[in-house]
Amino acid sequence: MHTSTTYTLLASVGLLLGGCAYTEDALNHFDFNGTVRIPVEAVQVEMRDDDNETWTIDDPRALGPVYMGVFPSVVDNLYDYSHPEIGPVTSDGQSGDAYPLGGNTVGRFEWGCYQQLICQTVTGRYTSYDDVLEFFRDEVRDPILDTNGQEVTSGIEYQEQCFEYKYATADYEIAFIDDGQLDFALSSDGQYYEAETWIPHVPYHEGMTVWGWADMPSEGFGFTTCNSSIGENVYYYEEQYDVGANYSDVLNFPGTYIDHGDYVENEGYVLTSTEDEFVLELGFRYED
Amino acid sequence: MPRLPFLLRVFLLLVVVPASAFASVTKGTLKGQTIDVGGLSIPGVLVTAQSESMMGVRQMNTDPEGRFYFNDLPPGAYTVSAEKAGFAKVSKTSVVVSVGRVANITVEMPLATAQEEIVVEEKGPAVDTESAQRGSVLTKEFLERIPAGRSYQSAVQMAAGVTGGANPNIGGASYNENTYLLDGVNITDPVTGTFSLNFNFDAIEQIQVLTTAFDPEYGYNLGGVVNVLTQSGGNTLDFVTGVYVTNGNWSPRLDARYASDGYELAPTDFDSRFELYRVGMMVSGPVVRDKAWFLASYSMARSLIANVGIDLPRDFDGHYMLAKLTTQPSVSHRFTVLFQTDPSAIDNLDQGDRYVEPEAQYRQAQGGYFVSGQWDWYISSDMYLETKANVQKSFLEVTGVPCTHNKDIGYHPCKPTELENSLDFVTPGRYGINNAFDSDNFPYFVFDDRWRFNASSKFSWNQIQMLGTHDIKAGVEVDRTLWDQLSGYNGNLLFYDLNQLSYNPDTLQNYYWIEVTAPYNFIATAEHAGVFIQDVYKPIENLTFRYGGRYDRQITRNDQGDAIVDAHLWGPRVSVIWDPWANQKTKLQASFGRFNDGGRLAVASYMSQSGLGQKLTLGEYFSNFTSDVANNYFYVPNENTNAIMDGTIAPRSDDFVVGFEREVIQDLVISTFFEGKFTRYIYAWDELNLVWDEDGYNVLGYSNGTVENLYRMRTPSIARRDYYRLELGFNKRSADRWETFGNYSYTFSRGTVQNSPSAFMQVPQEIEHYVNGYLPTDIRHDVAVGGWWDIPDDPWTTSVGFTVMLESGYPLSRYYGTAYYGGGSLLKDTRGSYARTETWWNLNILVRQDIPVRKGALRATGQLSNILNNRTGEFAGITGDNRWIISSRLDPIQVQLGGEYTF
Repeated sequence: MHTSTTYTLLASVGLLLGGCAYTEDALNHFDFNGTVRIPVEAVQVEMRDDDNETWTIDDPRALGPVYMGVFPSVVDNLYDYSHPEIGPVTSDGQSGDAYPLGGNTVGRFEWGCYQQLICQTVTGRYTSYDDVLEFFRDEVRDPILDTNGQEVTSGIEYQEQCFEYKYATADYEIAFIDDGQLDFALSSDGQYYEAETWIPHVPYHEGMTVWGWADMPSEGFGFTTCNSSIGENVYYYEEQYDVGANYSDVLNFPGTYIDHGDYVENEGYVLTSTEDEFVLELGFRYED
Repeated sequence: MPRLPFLLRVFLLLVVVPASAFASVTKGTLKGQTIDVGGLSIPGVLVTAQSESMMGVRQMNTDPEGRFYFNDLPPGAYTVSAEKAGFAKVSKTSVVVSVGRVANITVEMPLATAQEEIVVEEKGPAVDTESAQRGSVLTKEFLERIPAGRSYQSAVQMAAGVTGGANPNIGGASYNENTYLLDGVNITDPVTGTFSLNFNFDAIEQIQVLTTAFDPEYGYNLGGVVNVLTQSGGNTLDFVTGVYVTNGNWSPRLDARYASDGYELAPTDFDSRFELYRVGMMVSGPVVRDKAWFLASYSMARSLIANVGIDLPRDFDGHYMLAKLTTQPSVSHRFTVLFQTDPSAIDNLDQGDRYVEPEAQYRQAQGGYFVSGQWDWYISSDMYLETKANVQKSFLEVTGVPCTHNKDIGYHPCKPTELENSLDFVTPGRYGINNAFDSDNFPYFVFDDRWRFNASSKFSWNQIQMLGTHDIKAGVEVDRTLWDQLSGYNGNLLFYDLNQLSYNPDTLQNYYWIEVTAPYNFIATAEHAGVFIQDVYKPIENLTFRYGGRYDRQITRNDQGDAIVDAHLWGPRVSVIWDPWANQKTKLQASFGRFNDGGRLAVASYMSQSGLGQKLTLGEYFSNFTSDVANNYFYVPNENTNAIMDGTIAPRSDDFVVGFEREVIQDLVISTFFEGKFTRYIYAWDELNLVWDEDGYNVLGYSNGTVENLYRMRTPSIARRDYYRLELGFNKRSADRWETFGNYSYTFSRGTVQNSPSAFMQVPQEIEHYVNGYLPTDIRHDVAVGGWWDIPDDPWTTSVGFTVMLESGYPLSRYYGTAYYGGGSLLKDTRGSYARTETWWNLNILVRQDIPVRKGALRATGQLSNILNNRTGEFAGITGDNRWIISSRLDPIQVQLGGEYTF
């Protein structure tokens, strides 16, 4: 009697513990892991100021967002670079529509807490507030100014500005600061900047192609994929503005947004199974 | 009663039960054994059970081992008499039979002496060593003596593992995953999964709250069961009337609470208003003694509640009527007919935002009716058949009210030529600042009818001897539910006037407006059929196996008749209960059960293929408004592109319970239980057309090239909850003058989804953030303590009752603004990692004074609620800037004064 009851209780406890061991089942979509490679020379960005003085930034912090999409196919006869196949042109002056079955970015526009940084700071590029200050002061040569027009020189001051404007209480909530691993790292052979990435929730069709490009800054450190009139709204005393975000159809009309200096995937990576790990080599520099 | 042939029993089990219809849970069991002073069993003793809650008496002779057994008794206090030649007649009084429980007593019969009858008061054993279900049974006598809020919704909070408000979370489930029963009949709102009826508190006989480990006959929900049993009358004519006035206006006010930058975190109490008036009466008695009883009950409740800064209160008027007729033409057959209705109206309903001015009146009428018929057939001493059929209709109507003659309400008085409450479905309404209704007409209307047709039957066959003793129950139930809703906007147009300037629809200045399609009507339906069988098997006296299962098939259809959910639900349940010393003082238990969710009509309606089409036009105020998502004009067609994914699985919970109960001193029981509950496949939807960036912050493109959302309903296992609860409790009952109880729960509740259908998968990247976060039911510490004491000064008896309720804070998540959805919010951190709301607790006291009068009984009551004036948030949440706030005060100190007269 005692023995059987003990077994029963032990079995129940076993069942109880077993209940913790659920595993996830398939969600009927597939996550594709992959790598994005950009040649080291891509981060050499020509800059020009209002006085027409030129200089070159050679710094991975200048990398804009990398846009990736999974498309039914990629062709090379539409633009000077490979491009996803597009639908029919339905109105004058407008490109046909590309149809991304999934996509992702490596880095995204995240407002840098000061109005002058709208559409200029990208996640995964900076390790600290001082890092941002130094980059814009020494590389972009456009020091960050506070609302009184005074240059911000202290990372602590910068942090306070971000906490105030973003209602944050910790650095990990400030998305453009990453004291851990940045998106891109130099490859072992020193030829590329590489980033591990993924494209989630893709309905798989054999032959679908991963393609993408890196939006590189213009001579004035602007990005064509960023719209400064959308995004979160800042309402702070007399200040009222939008903080900017990427246009929400960049994967539907890539050719509209790819401009001089951007680096584009050479031909696209064709997926032949759900286990494929793609490699995007953004090796083609577009020159208009 | 004659014993039926075996084949007839088999026929009843296999044929009659499925052919008739239904199952309910309204009865309890009384069993025991007769022994002599030496402890030897006495066979052939005539045992009689009688009670004021039961017509006539039930009798049987004890078996060769001296055992007797009365199944399916109405709950109440029983007198059990045992008599046999040569022995003294022994009567045990006040034996409590509770719904769903077994009262097991021993009757010791001395040899006959000069004393003709020995009367012993015994309420029965404190530990039920045969039941597995966890929860509480709250009797009328208990509820009368503690500050339970005079509503079954508040009383439910006394049970362990119950948190939240009037629609509570039980066992970590969502507020809309419980089952509500009225006299054992499912009255759960078929759309929302919440309670759907109100009635006179005085008409309640018992409230059974089951949190876990309940038998298959109780159903297949993911949450708990709240089973309200009503009184049935009796052989004496009783009249009860009471008046209760509750007022919180005199409560000391709490000032607003501000953050260091001046942000208001909690509003001031000043200028708020809380008044509640209740009148009730109930008459019950015999139509024919022991043959027919009646009960009629009516109560009215009116509340006037205004949040801070609002001049005019929300005015709730409810009228609750319940009538019940019970007849027992023969000892074997009883018929019960019950009718209940609860029409209510809420004027000036919108009190959610204290800036909303109620210029345009807004009324919500709600309520419904419920009709039930029940046939109880006591086939023999060990066989019982219960058959029920019922229909329930609930309605909800939301309309504007152009004018009123009620000067107390004080707004928009009717002009002499105007007819009060005449509805205007032509004049468009207009929203102003903070959605204040600044036009003469309320903008929209809803006419909502919900139906439930139910039939069920349950058959029990007890004391079957086969390698021990078996009590078998089997039943079948069929339901059809229907949701019929008509909604639209007056004049098919809605103006928004952001500056509340004078209104000139000929210009575009300051306005935008939405043209909508004609009012639309949709009907969602569901059909359900379920069967269950369960056995209580006792191989030996102190070991009980409760096992069984149920199968349910539920088909839920959208407005096109498409089967959105077509679920085959299997719910096995098994429990082992051991009384190691066979003295009914100790119980060790282990239970497992699978519980399923067949889906509510709200799930089907989400997948409906029609809706209100909308066309937005922006005026000059928005001339600077540019967006590549929504330009100055957009159109939402009145069709729904939602799709349900093939192979959906109905949500289910696997629930494991182990526990221990022990009577440590006379009638004082301590208990400890541990529950692990694992819920998977919760209804969730995601969006198919949008492609997001790495943080789910902004959209990169549209898969079909069109700016639109395409939603899909799914049930992935990642949509889950893991719930762990340790319960400690004590219960001192059965004392003549006092009772007390207490329970404490320590809870972990983690997972991805609390409610369903959920949008948690809408942005694929966000799933990474959701997994294994703390859920809103992660209320670590939950305490309910209460008791009462009758101060013996008959006939001026004074009773003092108290409750202490405590819930520690629940977790809140942080969100960030997104570039999409107009700068809306998406999850920022792992669910619940940001903060917790404050611990909430209150102390409530009830004093009841009996006042002798010449005829009948007069009783005065006074109750103080939330004596320490703790601030409870009616709504607490994270604002867009990630601060957690209390938006309005729920319960200031309230005093309730009442008088009750019983004749």
